[in-house]
Amino acid sequence: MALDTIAPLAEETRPTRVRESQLHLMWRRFRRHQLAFVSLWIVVAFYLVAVFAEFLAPTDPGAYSARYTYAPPQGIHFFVSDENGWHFQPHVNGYTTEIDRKAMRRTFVVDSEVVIPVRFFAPSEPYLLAGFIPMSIKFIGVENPRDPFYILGADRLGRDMLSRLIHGTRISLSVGLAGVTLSLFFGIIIGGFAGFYGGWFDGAVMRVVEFIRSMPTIPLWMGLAAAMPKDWSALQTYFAITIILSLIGWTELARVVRGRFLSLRTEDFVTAAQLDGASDWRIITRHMVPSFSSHIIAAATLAIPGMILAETALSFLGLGLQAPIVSWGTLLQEAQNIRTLATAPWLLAPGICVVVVILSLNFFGDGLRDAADPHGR
Amino acid sequence: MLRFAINRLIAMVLILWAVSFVAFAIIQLPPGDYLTTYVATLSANGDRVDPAAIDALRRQYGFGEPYIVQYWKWITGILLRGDFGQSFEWKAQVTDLIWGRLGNSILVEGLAVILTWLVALPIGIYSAVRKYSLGDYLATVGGFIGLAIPNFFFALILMYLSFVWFGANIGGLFSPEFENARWSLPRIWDFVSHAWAPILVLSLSGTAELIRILRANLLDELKKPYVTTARAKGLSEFRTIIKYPVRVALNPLVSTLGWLLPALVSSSVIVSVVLNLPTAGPMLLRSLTSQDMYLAGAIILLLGVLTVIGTLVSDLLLAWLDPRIRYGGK
Amino acid sequence: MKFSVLGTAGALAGIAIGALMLANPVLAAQQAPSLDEMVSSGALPPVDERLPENPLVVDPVESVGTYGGIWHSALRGGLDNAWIARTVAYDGLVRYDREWKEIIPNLAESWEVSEDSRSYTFHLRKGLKWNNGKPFTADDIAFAVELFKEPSYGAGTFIKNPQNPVTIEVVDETTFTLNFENPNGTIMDELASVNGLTLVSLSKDYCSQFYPKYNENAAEEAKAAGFETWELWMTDRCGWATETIRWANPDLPFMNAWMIDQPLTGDATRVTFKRNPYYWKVDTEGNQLPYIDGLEMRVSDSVEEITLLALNGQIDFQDRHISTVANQPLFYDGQEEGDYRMGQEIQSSSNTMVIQFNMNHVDEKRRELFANKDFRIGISYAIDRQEIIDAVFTGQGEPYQVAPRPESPFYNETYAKQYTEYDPDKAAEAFEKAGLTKGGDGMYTFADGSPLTITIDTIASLRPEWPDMLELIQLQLEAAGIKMEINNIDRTLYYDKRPLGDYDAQVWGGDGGLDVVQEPRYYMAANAESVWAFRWQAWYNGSTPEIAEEPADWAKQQMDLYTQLRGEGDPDKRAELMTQILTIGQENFPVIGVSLPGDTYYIARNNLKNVPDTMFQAYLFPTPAPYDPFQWYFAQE
Repeated sequence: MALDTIAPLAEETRPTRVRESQLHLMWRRFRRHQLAFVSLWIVVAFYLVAVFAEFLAPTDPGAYSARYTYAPPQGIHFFVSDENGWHFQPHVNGYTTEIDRKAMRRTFVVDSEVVIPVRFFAPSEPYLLAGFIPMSIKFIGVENPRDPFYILGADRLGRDMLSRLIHGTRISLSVGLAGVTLSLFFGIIIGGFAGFYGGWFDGAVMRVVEFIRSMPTIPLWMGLAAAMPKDWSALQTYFAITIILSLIGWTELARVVRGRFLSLRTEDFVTAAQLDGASDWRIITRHMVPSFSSHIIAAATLAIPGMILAETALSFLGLGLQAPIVSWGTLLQEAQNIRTLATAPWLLAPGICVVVVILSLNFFGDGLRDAADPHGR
Repeated sequence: MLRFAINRLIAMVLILWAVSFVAFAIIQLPPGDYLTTYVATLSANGDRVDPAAIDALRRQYGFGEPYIVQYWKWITGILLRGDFGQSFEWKAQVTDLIWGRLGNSILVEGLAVILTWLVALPIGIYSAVRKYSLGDYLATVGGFIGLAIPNFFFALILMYLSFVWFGANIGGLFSPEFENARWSLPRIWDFVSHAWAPILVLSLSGTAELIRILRANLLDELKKPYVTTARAKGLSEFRTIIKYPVRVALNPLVSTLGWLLPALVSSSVIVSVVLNLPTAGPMLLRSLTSQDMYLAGAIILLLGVLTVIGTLVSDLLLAWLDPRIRYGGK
Repeated sequence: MKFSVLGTAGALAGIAIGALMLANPVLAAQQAPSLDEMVSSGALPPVDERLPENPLVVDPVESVGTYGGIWHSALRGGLDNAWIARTVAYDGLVRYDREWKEIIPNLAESWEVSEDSRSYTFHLRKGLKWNNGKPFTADDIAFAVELFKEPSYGAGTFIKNPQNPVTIEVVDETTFTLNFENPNGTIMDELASVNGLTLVSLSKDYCSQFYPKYNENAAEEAKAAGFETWELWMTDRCGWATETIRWANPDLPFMNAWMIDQPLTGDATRVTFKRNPYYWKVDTEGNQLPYIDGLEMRVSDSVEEITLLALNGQIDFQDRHISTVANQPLFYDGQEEGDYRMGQEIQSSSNTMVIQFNMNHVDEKRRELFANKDFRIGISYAIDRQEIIDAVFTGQGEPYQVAPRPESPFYNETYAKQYTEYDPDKAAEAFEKAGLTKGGDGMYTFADGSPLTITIDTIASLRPEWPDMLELIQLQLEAAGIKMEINNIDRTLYYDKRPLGDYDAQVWGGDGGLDVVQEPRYYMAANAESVWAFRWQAWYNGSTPEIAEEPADWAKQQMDLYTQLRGEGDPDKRAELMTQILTIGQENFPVIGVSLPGDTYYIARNNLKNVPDTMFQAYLFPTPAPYDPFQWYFAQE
C-alpha cells in the first residue's frame, strides 16, 4: 500500500519507460525476499476474503441459533468409513446437546456417528456479493441448512464464528487501509512542507500538531463521537470513525516527516537539485520523499495495526462500530470477559487474525523497503 | 538560540491556553450536563429526584451560564488561586482527588517507558546490525505478536492465567496492608509484585513499535558512506554503530518522546480499568462519562502541560542529537 | 411462596410488633470480645449502658452465631454507593420483614396512624445512641425535616413533596408526629424502603454546626473550608441516606451496625467498616449484634477482577455486578475450588426487557401509529419469545408481558400472557388493522405509502443482554415485514430525548413486578419513567408543564384512581384501586414485554452462616440488607 502512495507521485514527474524499469527492478528484488513474498500473498488472501466475504462466509454474520449457543468448533473431516472402506466425503459431525439447568449452559458433545456432508459451491439463499452482484451460491455449506455447521464454533447467540470473522475482515482491513492512507496523505504533505519551508509555516503546523497530540485521545474520541449526528446509520458512523482515527493519526507522521526534512534539506543531493533548477515540488517528491521512503513504509505497516487496535479500543468504550456491523474489534470486544476465556476460547480467533495480518504486513513492508532501497545490494 | 527559546515559550503558553479552551469545550460537547447524568444514574437504580431540587443544584453549580463565562471562572480560578474547582460527583476539591492518581500514572507509565527503551534499544540495534538473522526474526515475530494483541486483552489474559495457575489476583497496585503505608523496602517489593503486570502490558506494544522503527532507521544509516568510512578507519564495530548511526536513527523517536505521556494515559485507560489500577486514566474516563467537567478538565489540562513540557524537552534533545537541525533562519 | 405486600401491609403493622421481641433478654447482654479491652480500659461504657432499654431482638435465620471475621466484597468503582446501601445503610425507622410481607419496627418500636391517614405518630426506642455515644432522639428527626425543607438544599423525598407538604411535631424525646396536608397511604412503605433512610441519617448534635440557623458563622466557615456555600459544605460533611459522600466522612455519626473505618474517598482503593459498639440490636440470647467484626470492600473498576476474586474465594458474599447470566456456569463450576455456594435470588422485576413505543411522538403519523393498540399487538405477535429465551437466557424464563409477577397478589394470567405467542399470521392481521400496507419488497409502510422504519434506543452499557435481544428482535421483525434499527446511545442522551419526544421507542428493565403499587410506571403513565407516555405523565405530575399533554381518557381514569389510592389508608381498598388500574392497563396494553426474568443468584462463602437460601432481589427492598447481615456470622473451623 505504501507503493500506492509513492507510485502516483512518481507518475507525474517521470517518463513512463523509466518508471517501468524502476518498478521492475523493485519487483525482482522483492521476489528474492521470500518471507516478504509469502507475506504479500497472505495479505492479498486476506483482502480477497474481505472482498468476497458474502461468498466465502457460510452464513449471514447475524444469523443466530438458539440451540447452539457457545457450540464448540466442529472441525472439518474429509473421509468417512463405511462397509466399502474409506472414501472422500468432506463432512462435519453433529452434536448431542443438553441443557444443564443448574449451571445454566448447554453442553455439547461432538457425535462422530452423525455425519453432516459438506458441499463446496453449495446453493444458498440469494444474496448480493459486495452489495451489487446477485449470487445464490456459497463457497462452502451443508446440504440441509438446519444442520449445525460451526467450523470455528459459535458465539453466545449461536452465530457462526467463521462467518463473523470473514465479515469482520472486510471492515477491519478497510478501516486500517483507509485510515492509514488518509493519515499518510496528510502527514506527508503537511509534514513535508513544514520541514522544507520551515519558518512560520513550520512553526504553525508544529504547534497544531503539538496541540492535537497534547490532548489525550480518549476525550478527543468521546468528544468527536458525541458530536457525530445521532441519526447516522451504522455505515456512516463507520466512515466517521475512520476519519476520526486518521485525523489524530496524521500528526505523528507529519512530525516525523518534518524532522527528516529538516535534516535532509541541507544534504548535498538536495542542494545539487536546487542548483540544478528543480522546482520545490520536484525536490520534495522526487528526491526527498524517496530518500526516506523506508521510514514511511515502516511507519505505515505499523500504523495499520494501530488503526485496527484503535478501532478495537473504540468498541471497548462503546464509541466504535455498532451492530449489525462486525469487525475484528467488535468481535474481540465481545470476547473480552472471563466467561469466554474460561469456556469458549475459540471466540479469541479474531485475535489470531489480527496477529497474522500484522505480521504479514510487516514482513511485506520490510521486503518492500529493501526493494525500494536505492542503496540495496 | 535565545530568540528560539522565547518563541517556544510563547508558543507553549498559547498551546496551553488552546488546550484548556478546547478541553473545556470538548467535555461539554456531549448533550446534557452532570446533573442530567446524575438523574439518569439515580433513575437506573430505581430512585428519583425532585426536579425542583435539581434546578436548585443547577443554579448552585452555575450550569445555566454561557460557555465563555463558565470557562472564564474556571481558568481564572486555576491561574489566580490554583483552584481547579469541585468534582460534582465526589463533591470534593479536584486538587484533592487528582494528585495521587496522577502520581500513580506517572510512576507506572514512566516505568513502562523505561522498560520499553531498555528492552527495545538493544534489540532494535541488534536486529538492524544482524538483519535477517534468527535473532532478528525472533525479535520481529515476538515484537509483532506483542503489538498485535490489544493490550487490554493481554491484561485480561494475564489476570486470568495468574488466577488459574497461581490462584493470585494481580489487580491493583498494592496489597491491602501496604496501601496507605509509607514507602519502605517491603512496600517497594509489594508494589513490584503487583505492578509488573501493568508495566509489562503497557510496555509491550511500545517495545515492538520502537524496535521496528529503530531497526528501519538504523538500516538506512548503516548504508551511508560515512559508516563505511568509519569502518575503514578501523573504528571498532561497536563504536561505529553507537557513535553516530544510532544517534541519527533515534531522531524520529526522540521527536515523539513528548507525546508518550498522553498517548500512554490514553492507551492505559482500558488496561487500568481491566487491571483496576488507581491511575488517572479510569478517573478521566469516569469523569467524562458522568460529565464531571471540572475533574475531567483538570486531568486533560495537566496532561497537556506535561506534554508541552515533554515536547520542549524532546526538541532540545533533538537539537543535541542531530546537529544538522538548525532552528530559525530561512 | 405467595407474596402479599406492598402497599397492603403498611399502616396496621404497628400492632404486629411483639412477634420478634418476645424474649426481652433476661440474661445480661454479651458483647464482641474485641470490645472487651476498650470497656475494661474505660474507653467505652459497658454494653448494658450502650444498649437501649428495649433493644431490638433479632431472631437468627438458623442459629445464634459467634463473633468475628471480616466480610469481603467489592464496589465497582468508587461511586457504587448502592452496595453500601444494600449492606450497611439499611436501618430506617421501620424495615421490611424477611418475607417482604410486612413492615416491622426498627428504630421506631411502634407507631399509630390517624383515621384519615394524615398523621403518623412514631415511638422511638428509649436510650438509642449514635455510634459516638450521643443519644438519638426525636430532635434528630426534626432537624432532618427542617434541613430538607430548605428550598436550596438536598434531594427530594416525601419531605419536599409540594403536593403533600409535611410538618413534624416533637412530642417528647422519643415521640414525634408527621402531619401531612393530604391523606398519605404510601408513607410507611416509603419509610421501610431504601428511600426511607433520609429521615434518620443526621445527628443534630454534629450537623447543626454547618447550618446557618444554628451556627451564624456557618457560611463563612464553609468558605474557609473551600466551599462556596453552606449547602455544599453541609452536603460534604453530612451526606444523607445512602449518598456516596456520606461514606467519606468518618466523623459523621451513624446508627448502623458497622461504621466507617477507612472512608470512601476519591482515591480510596478499599473501603472498610468496623463494628458500631452502640448498635442497638441483640440476638435471642442477648448477644449484641453484629456478629461480624467488619466489612472490607475492594474498590475495583474491573468487573473481571471482581469475578476472579469471587471465583478465588476472596469474596464472602456478593451478588451485585457479578451474578450475570453469562457468569453462572463459571461460578457453578468453581464452587468447590473457591469454597463458596450459590443461593437463589428471585427478581422483583417483571420483565427482561420492556419495549416502550412513544405514544406522544412529536411526529403526527408516528404518534398515531404507536398509540394504536393493534400495532403494538402486531409487534408482540411478531416476536418469537421462546427463541430469545433459549438463545439469550439458556432457556430460563417464560414469555411474559409487563405485568405483575406470579408471586404478586396482583398476578393476573391474562395480563401476563396476552399476545405472547409467536404468530406471524396474527401479527400480519394486526398490522393491517393498524392501517399499515405491505410494499413490494414485503415490508410494511405507512398507509400513505411512505416507508416505515422504527428506531429503538438502548443503552448497551447498562444491560449487556439488551443489544443481544434487540438484534434477535430486529431479525424477527424484519421477517414479519417491519424494519427496525437499533440505536445504542449514551445514557444522558437517553434522558435528554424524553422531553423532546422525537424517539420511536426506548427499552428498559421491568421494574414494578413485585412492587406493583410503588412502581406502576408500565401499568399507567405514572412518572418520568413512563417513557411510553412521557407527556401524559407530565400532565399528571405537573413537573414540566411546557410539554404536558392531556392524556387519553383511559389514562386519565387510571390517574384518578391512583390519586385516590395515594390518599387511602385502608390497605384492602388500596389493593382494590390498584386492581382497577391494572385492568385498564391490561385492556390498553401500553408496553411490550419479552420474558419473565429467571432467578438469579448470590455467592456466599461456605462458612458464612445465617444467610437464607432464597432471597428476593430488588432495590426498594435493598437485597441483601432486609435479610439482616448483622446476624450473619462465620462458622468457626
